[in-house]
Amino acid sequence: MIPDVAAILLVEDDPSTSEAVALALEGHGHRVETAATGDEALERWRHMRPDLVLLDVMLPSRDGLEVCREIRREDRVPIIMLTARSDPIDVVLGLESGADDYVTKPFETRVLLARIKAVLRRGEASPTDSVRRYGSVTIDPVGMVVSRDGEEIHLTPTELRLLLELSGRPGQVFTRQLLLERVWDYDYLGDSRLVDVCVQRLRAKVEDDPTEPTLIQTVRGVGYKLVDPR
Amino acid sequence: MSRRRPLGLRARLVMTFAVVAAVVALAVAGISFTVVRSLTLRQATDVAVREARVHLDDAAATLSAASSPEELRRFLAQLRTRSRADVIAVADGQVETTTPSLTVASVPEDLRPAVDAGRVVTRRTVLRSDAVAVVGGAVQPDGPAFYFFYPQQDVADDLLLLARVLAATSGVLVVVSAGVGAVAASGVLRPIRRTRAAVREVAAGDLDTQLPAQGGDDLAELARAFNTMTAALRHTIGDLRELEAGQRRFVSDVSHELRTPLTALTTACDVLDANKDGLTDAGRRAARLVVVESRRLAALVEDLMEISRMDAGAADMTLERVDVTRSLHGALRSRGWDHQVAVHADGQPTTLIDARRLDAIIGNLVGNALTYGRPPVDVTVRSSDDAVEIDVSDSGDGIAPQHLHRIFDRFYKADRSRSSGGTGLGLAIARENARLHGGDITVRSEPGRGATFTVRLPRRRSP
Repeated sequence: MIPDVAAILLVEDDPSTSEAVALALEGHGHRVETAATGDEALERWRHMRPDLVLLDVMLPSRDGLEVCREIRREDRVPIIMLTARSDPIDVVLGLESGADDYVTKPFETRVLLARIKAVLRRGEASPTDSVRRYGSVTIDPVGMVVSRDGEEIHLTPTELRLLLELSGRPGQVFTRQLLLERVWDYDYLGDSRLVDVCVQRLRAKVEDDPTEPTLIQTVRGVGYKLVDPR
Repeated sequence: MSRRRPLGLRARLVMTFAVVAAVVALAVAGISFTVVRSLTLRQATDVAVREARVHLDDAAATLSAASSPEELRRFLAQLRTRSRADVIAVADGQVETTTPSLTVASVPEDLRPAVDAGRVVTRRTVLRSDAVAVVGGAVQPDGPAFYFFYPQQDVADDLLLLARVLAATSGVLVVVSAGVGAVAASGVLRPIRRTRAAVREVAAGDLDTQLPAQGGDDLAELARAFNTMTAALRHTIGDLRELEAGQRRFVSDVSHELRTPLTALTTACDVLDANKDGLTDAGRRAARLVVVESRRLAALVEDLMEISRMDAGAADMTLERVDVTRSLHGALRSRGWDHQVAVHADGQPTTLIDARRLDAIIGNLVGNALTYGRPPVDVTVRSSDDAVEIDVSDSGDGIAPQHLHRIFDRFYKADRSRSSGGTGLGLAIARENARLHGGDITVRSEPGRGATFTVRLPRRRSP
């Protein structure tokens, strides 16, 4: 069980916002450390090894996307982007850099807390399932390990949860909204780009040829399904 | 006043050319013909008269008033071989001719008194459908009178030929002129057509349209004036666009810059709200105000950003196949309105739309109905082959007609005295959201009988 209370690294260059968010999170029991620049963020992250990173996109020195990619190179820690920009491409870029979810500024504290809770919960194991094999890919829901040709693939909790969801019922088509509900805990109207980008990331890791996916297939106009190659 | 449609420029030019050519050709031909004809005939007649005088002198030498009919007959017999004219001689009661077809009746009446008076006279006439010059003269005042009929048919034939040639030439001239007129018309019309096409292009918004302006004629002047005009328009519209883009950018930038302090503010307010128990009563009330107003400010900034995105054409659409009725229920449930609003739907129509935008539309319209109208609030979904329509109606006081057409305007408030707590942009954004789908929102209301807003979303065949 992941505790409700987490160690959170808050990367935000505006001191007032940083302080207010830290106050709000601490008010709900989380332990918060802050960083104001990209470089500082990476240094803190290495030192602190947080349960979760809240990452502003616009940062001095290195921007949030770069920090996100840098962290993803070594760690599967859940990352939630804080984006002040309205530009939709920002959201996609953030997700492609490896972020698990995003919150648009200005946000309500309860929304941020809900996103944090949902992301943390994705790391929990689902103890009842047995090991599944699809072609060269082996999924162990209990150990939370996925391997391809015997070699472990490093998936973020979100990617893993998405793969578990799709592989739970192979052949069944999952709509984006259903996946948003099951994986991201959006009870209503999540951003379907979350699903699309995460599927891309997942394919890049589990498919033999991500441009010609055989395992996770797109059902045009509906959603996605996992196909057992056998 | 003529009711006929005026002729086109081309037809008018062709006609003018043809008419001018016809008038000139006819005048030239007519004058030429008259002159040539009179000269030719006079010449022919002069020759006839000279010849006749020779014969008359002969006759005077040979004959006298007292000559016998036999002498006259003999003289005429000589004449028949010597003269190319047919001759008739009239003496006292005796008539002699060189050809039997000739009679006294052939002699023009008015010649005889003059001849009898001793003059040599001439007259052109037609004898048995042939043109002839008649020369009359007498040997002595009382002697036999001679009438020489010189044939002039060859001259007449020549003149007829000339007339025909002239007429034909005139005809050709008229046709050629009409052709030249048509070519000239094309020459004039081509730049006019080009100008017309250019004007249409400008009217359609293409201000880069230019006309070739070579030479110094009137059309080149027109082209230059046109080019100057489009350049001026380009300049003015460019300035206006820049100004407008600048204003939009400003709104967008301002909203953007407001976001950072707003994030700090709203989050701090949430902290304040969570810790209000530790405050005094006055502090609690003040905190409450700060919390409410900061949320309202955040909503306003959010709406301003949304509408400036729409104005800039930068609104992104994520089209998905959406069950309209289901998302309707979702929109109501997520706002806690599902027990206050009745949903009526025939079936479960699905269509390709942006679910977030539909949610925003429904949230705005139902929110308005609950805030400004009175229950019951009804939402009705109607579906046809080409559109899905959603009615949102309330049972309140309705909207007065003078407000109805301005209700979608930005920051327009039907009731200025009432503070709504809204941003004033909700309906404008809702309508833009519908229009992004190719649809629209309309409203109808009768005072005292509530208002009905209808969202129309055309069905799309593919994303």
